[in-house]
Amino acid sequence: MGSLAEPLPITAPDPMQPTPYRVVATHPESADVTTLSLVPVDAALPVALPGQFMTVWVFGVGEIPISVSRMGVAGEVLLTVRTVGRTSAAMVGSAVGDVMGLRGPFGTAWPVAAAAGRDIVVMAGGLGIAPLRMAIDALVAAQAGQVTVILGTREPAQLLFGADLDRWRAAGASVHVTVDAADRTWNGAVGTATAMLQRLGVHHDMAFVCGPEMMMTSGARAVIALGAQPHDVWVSLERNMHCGIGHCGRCQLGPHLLCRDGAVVRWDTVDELLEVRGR
Amino acid sequence: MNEIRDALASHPFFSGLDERGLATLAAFTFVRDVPAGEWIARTGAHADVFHAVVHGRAGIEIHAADREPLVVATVHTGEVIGWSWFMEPHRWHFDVIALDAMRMLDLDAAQLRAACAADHELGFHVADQLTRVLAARLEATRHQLVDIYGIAR
Ligand SMILES: Cc1cc2nc3c(=O)[nH]c(=O)nc-3n(C[C@H](O)[C@H](O)[C@H](O)COP(=O)(O)OP(=O)(O)OC[C@H]3O[C@@H](n4cnc5c(N)ncnc54)[C@H](O)[C@@H]3O)c2cc1C
Ligand code: FES
Repeated sequence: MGSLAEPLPITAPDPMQPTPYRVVATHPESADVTTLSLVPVDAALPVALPGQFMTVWVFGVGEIPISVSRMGVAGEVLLTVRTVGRTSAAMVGSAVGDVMGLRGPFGTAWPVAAAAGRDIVVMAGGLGIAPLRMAIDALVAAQAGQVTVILGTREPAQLLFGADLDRWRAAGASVHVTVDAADRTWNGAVGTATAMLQRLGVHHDMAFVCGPEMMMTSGARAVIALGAQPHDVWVSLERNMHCGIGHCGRCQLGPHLLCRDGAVVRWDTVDELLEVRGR
Repeated sequence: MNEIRDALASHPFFSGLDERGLATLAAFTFVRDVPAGEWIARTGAHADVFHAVVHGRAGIEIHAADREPLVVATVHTGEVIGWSWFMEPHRWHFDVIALDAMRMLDLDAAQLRAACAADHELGFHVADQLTRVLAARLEATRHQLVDIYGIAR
């Protein structure tokens, strides 16, 4: 099997050297998810493409990979983080003025240009919307094809980026939200993102899918059942990572190093690998 | 009668049925409008009607003593409500409430079961469609059980 997607060249001058960034704003998105806005203390890292990630060093705590949620002006980087363990909790709990060390950008990007003029469905589960945000921005800005966004989340209170959803709708995208459970005040659908895709029931030429692995597997298969070619379906796979540049082997999936060959990969190159438990 | 036959023919659950099948079903199908907030089914009650949604949105709810009712699935235009009517003991396992004003095709469950037993082509169509509904529900339940959005992504 060849590489999963064309690895992008690492553009940072020294990819192992953290670059100091300062927190200039924190935007709580839900009870345990916050978006940090960071600006470079001195020189900025190269601009991240949609789907790429940075590693974030919280001094004295640890270093973790986080997808770039959006790039602002003057090197500003937005990172959307959920509290999971020590390092992510330290990021979520950080205050304006705190300094962190960033490395990157690393990994492959969503093939946004290849979607031009095609009908694309973007499926996100939970926090999986964060690494898709810039891709959706680019797709709706290009106005080159029909864009459908399906967002699945646990409950209404955990819905992220409500203002973006409105903006994407206003720009012509068809946006559908579904939750796992809700009370009766919820005015939308309850069920999985895959169920929503099946309810819409239309063929899409291409798909970008990001979320928990079980959700991506079920979503990718459902898009293909509706007629998409497996090589036109892209997913983002997360594995524990350390170096981010293909040296340490921590992020291995079968023969692939996901920090370099992923996280964004073509479905037909990983479908069978994901079948095997524990890879 | 023709109106009902046409409504059945254009509902995805029944699409593909031949004229004979549609005519059989039309004999015990009724169109029903349900206002938002009305109960469609209650846990434990006899499942004596099969509901196919023409338009609107219903919520499938579970209740626990110490909390507000929880909607665990919604059923929308072109979909159907449950399979309890098909399998013994023919009792609803959930509460179902109209979340919006709805129009439904209500099929008498006893007559539908008898028709399926008498005409195996019709019976296979109904069982095949219900299996798809069940499979989708099973997958959704599996995702909810493991709380797939719970950690990290
Ligand atoms: C390419 C990539 C992009 C990512 N992007 C984001 C992002 O944009 N936002 C974000 O919040 N997170 C993202 N993550 C996940 C994030 O890196 C982890 O949540 C983080 O490493 C956890 O570190 P910690 O020190 O807080 O917790 P740890 O102490 O390392 O872990 C606490 C517990 O969570 C479990 N855990 C750790 N990581 C994961 C994981 N990825 N999935 C499931 N369980 C896990 C551990 O096994 C442990 O039980 C990304 C991961 C990768 C590989
Ligand atoms: S994280 Fe080191 S090889 Fe991928």
